[in-house]
Amino acid sequence: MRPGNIISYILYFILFFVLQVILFRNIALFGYALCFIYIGYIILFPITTKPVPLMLIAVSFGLLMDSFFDTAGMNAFVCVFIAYIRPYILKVLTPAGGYDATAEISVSYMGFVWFIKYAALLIFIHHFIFFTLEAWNLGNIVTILIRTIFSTIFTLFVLVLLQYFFKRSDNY
Amino acid sequence: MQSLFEFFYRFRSLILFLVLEIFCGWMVVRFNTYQSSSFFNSSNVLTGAVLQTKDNVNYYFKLRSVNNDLAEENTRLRQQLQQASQRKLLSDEKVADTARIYQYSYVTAKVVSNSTNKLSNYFTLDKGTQDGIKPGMGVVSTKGGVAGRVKNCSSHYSTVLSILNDKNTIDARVTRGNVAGYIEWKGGNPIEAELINVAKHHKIFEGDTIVTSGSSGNFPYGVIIGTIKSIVDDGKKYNIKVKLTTDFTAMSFVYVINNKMEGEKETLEEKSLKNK
Repeated sequence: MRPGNIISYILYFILFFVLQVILFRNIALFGYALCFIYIGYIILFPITTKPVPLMLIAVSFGLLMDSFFDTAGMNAFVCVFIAYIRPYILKVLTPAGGYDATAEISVSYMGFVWFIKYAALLIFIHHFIFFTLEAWNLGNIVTILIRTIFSTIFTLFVLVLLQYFFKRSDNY
Repeated sequence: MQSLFEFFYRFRSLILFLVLEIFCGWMVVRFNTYQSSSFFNSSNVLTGAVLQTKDNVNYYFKLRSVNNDLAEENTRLRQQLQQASQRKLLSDEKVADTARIYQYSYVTAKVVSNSTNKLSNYFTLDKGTQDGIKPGMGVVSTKGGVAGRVKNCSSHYSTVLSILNDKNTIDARVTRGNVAGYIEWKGGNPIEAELINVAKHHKIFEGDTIVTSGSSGNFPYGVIIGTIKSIVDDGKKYNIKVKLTTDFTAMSFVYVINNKMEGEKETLEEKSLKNK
């Protein structure tokens, strides 16, 4: 997403919404790995986005997902959490020389390793909280961790794949 | 100034974050069947724990009256037990006298002061002549063991000559063979007394039970005093140590025994002595 480019925000919204609700709705690889690709929408927002609007976007997007997955409040909860901690993660991962004003979060702009570190961290946190909320019992911590790890790999794989998929169209 | 704005800026986002998370958390609990049931179950656990604690505190404050009730009830039961055993004795007699059944009655009393570390130990009860207590009556502890004999009475209080008193001797029997002796205490250990005057030809063993003889009239026959702890034969006599049943260091309630035939017995004995 390019900073300030409202059209790209809307297009990404439609992209992640359609992917999540239509394609990845009922896919569970090996019975464990779920793909929550919609979180990519929060992850890919421009670095300069302020936390307050991002949290409002996150809670609306999360509630929208909840209405499709019958998980009232759970996705919204995790989305708001991700939106809140995102600036701190970005601060920790600041590359030498800091972020450019025009920096966008993508493999082609920030580099493959940085993108993997950043996305994997947020996706892992998201999945862990989501599965914990779903299980509602830390006694199942082993199951929660297994589901979190496999789903993180799955979601991360799809998110990186999307980066290469849209790389060309972004660059014309 | 800039840092102040930064502070407000971060504060604002934290507030929004907390509000949104509380809202979403509320939704999670409110609208998801499993989460809501387990949440409200655990809150029931919490409610239950609070109520339980409150009940425990209340119970603590009620302990005084509960104790009194229990002591009163024990007295009643003890009385019935004694009546039952008297009834059993009666069944062996040819002429049944039902007055025997009600020969002993019990009065509950609370120990208001107590000593165990002197040579002459007394304890004080919160009942006196107004409750029917007279000097000479026997006193047993809640453990069922002999505690002492009433020495003096005022209208609301009585002092009791404890077993732990060098001036107090109690007629005793070893249940094995009904061997007679006296219980005496000569200071020191408050859970140990001596059994003296046991004739040397009797066979007694460690662990044998020692009970009251019933001859003095203060106690019915068979109230436990203690058990034999050790027997040393020094050639002339036995030195017998007795472990007392009553724990004098932890007495809160006692029962005073009222023998209704004590007066009759005394009158008869005095008359016999005069006529001699």
